[in-house]
Amino acid sequence: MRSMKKMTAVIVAAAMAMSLSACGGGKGIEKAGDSTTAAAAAESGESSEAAGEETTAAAETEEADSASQIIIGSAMTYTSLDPAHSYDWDAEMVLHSVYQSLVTVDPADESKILPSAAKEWTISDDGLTYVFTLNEGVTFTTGKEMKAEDVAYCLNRVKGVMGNPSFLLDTVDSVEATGDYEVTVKLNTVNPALLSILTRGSMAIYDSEVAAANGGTCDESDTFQTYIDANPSMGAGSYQITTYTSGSEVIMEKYADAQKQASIDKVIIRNIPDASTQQMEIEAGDIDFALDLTADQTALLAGKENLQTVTSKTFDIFFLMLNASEEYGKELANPKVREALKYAIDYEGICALAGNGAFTPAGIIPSGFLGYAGESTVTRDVEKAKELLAEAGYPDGFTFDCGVIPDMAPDGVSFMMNAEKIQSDLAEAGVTMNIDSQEVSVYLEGYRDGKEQAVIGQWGPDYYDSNNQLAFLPGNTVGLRAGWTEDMAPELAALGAEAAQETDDTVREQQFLQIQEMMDEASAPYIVYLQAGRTWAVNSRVQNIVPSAAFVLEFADLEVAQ
Amino acid sequence: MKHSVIKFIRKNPLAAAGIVIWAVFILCAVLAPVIAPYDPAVQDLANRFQPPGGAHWFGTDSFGRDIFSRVVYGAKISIPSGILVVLLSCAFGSLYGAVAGYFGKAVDEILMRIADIILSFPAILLAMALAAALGKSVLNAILAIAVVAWPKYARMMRGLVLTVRESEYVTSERVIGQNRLTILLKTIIPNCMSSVLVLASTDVGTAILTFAGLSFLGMGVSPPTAEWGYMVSDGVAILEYWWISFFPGAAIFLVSIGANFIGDAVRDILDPRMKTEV
Repeated sequence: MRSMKKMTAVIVAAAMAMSLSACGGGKGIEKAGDSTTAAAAAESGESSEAAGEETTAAAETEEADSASQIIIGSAMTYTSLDPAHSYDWDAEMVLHSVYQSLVTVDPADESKILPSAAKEWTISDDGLTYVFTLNEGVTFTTGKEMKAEDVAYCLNRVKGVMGNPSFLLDTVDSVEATGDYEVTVKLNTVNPALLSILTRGSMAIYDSEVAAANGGTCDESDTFQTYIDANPSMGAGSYQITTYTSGSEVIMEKYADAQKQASIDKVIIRNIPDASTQQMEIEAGDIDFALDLTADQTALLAGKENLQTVTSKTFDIFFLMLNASEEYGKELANPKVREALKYAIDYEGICALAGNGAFTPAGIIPSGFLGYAGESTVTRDVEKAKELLAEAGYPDGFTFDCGVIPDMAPDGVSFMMNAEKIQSDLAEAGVTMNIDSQEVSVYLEGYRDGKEQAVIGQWGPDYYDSNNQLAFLPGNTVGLRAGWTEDMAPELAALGAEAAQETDDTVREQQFLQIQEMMDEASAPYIVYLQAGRTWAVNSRVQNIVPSAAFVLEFADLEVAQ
Repeated sequence: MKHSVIKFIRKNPLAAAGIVIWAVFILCAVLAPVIAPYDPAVQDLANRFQPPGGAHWFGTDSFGRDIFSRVVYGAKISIPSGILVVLLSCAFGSLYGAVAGYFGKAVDEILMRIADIILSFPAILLAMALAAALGKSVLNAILAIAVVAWPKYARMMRGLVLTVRESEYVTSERVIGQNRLTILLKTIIPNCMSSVLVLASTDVGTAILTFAGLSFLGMGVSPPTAEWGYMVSDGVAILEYWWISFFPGAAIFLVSIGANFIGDAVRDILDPRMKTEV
């Protein structure tokens, strides 16, 4: 009897499944999400007649079919999505799709500034006053129209809250609404990088009335961050954040009234810190994007069924910092020694290990920026390195310590792997590099105070203008971390200061090229060994993928194959 | 002689296996440069991720380094560090426990509560914290593991001393006016050592395992030193290349289980209640 009952149940279930798949088949491809909805609908209608059940299921399927969603697996580095506090490279993709900024960049060429919230702008002859004219009729998800007051409020808030991105607006004197749709930005010093800075996710524009009513004060007592992270976003971008769980998940839904209409209804970003877990999930089809795979992993995944790999450029440069100060650099303070190390490193090998299209730029300006000096022409020459070491007084080599963060792999380039490769290269020239694995906070403390003898470092530009790279010059932020003070290379420091203020691009380009040449001659305390590329594994149902070095990925362009 | 060896193997097959395993690994540690076909640190980017077989018996890792050679060289780190941890913790722990047990009362209370505090921490967590605080080096990792390992020797020794100090031969020594310290060092401790040695021999495996664990978490050796725990962690990123983790993992397993086999045999031999003709 019992087995009879079981049999009947199985037959009924089979019949139900068949009728479901029949109506699903008529609609084309079913997605994982749809079939669960349909199954749930079928389960809930247990006691109803078979015919009625079928229609319910069909209706549910139809509704779910029209809603598309993709899931992105990413090792989240951000802990907040408040634009005024956000300063993480992977938050850019969220902020870029959720908010509009005054201007944006062309994903194909980041040096090209395109209109976004502002339809046009003028720059005064002295380069100190920018006037932006906004598009009319743009509404936030809250229903309010975007006006000049919102722009002024949001930019002043970035400047005032003293968050991580506040320094970007250091050269901005004031931002004022000079009309309903006119914003005037006044600078205290000429800054040719201003437009590039204004494309950043931090410069997002949102509903200022909601902000002011919920703790937004635009100074250090500002508490709007708590509100914005706990509530749906109020921007005018293609998507709206509906749920954000810090360190876990971001759910974004299409904003129907956006200027740029997205194709996919729902984008979910899931925090998957571990690269091998990302690999497993993308292979299983649980996620559509795996953003943090190493080159070795993407090489394994390339050519697998249902998967595609997408390569993108970055402006991130990786370098070996060799402290130039006598006190902390010791042997490395000698420029001859630094020159010797430059010839001892196998750049081709490092780039091959890093994969994903990595190459070695000739200087601190990455490919894609004004003043890029082309690929490095330095080739490995161990004999020359040994000769230079002998000249410097170390015929038998020497030993130095190099700080490395062991468990970090920005752009899929493992610091430890770089370090082990360089260690092995230097060993052939008789130099012993001790790898000193350090916890991130310990590393940053020592490095920022300029107390590390050497480190494996990475620099991702804060904005997409060569001015940003001037930090590497003597006396500037990174320069001081490397013990490189202004008096050690006064001419270089002076030229850098000049370039920072120059507005003519042809002159700037010449200056940047000259700066890099001079740095090379002075054996600057950095050996830039690679500029990274990024490779993602993506489910092949996702199409029209537009990667960008600036905002990672344009969600609004993505499409899902039917 | 030959006869007794066969007899030992027949009686204690596991112990014999343990001894063979350890003999092989000690040989590896001592003769690593002779046994290993490649330099364990030399990279060969043209031959990355080669599967086991042919020129590389255990395959190659992400830098094209020969895994067999690295496993052999790994013995140079793991075997001595395991033994050193046990020596340190056993020496300190037994002396500590003996003093507590022999002097009793307040001394006992204070000393044993201190030991209890250390015992109450999860061992690997405390070792990690210590290793991180002391800085990354093999010696610091050994010290950190020894610090968490000694209280169990102290506990055991104290218990043994408590029984032995009431025995007649100790009382008679006291009656003839022997110095208390001499009694402790010359009579009591030697009489308690056999049980402690049993614990120590099984503990070598645990020590090696803990050391490998610390290295796995990045707190033992620095590259390019070949160390088993570190090698295992190197390979888990891409499981398709299983051999990178598998062979060093197998080495850790074999050494630990070998130590346990030997420990069991030592207990059988030293424990008078289990004594039969060996």
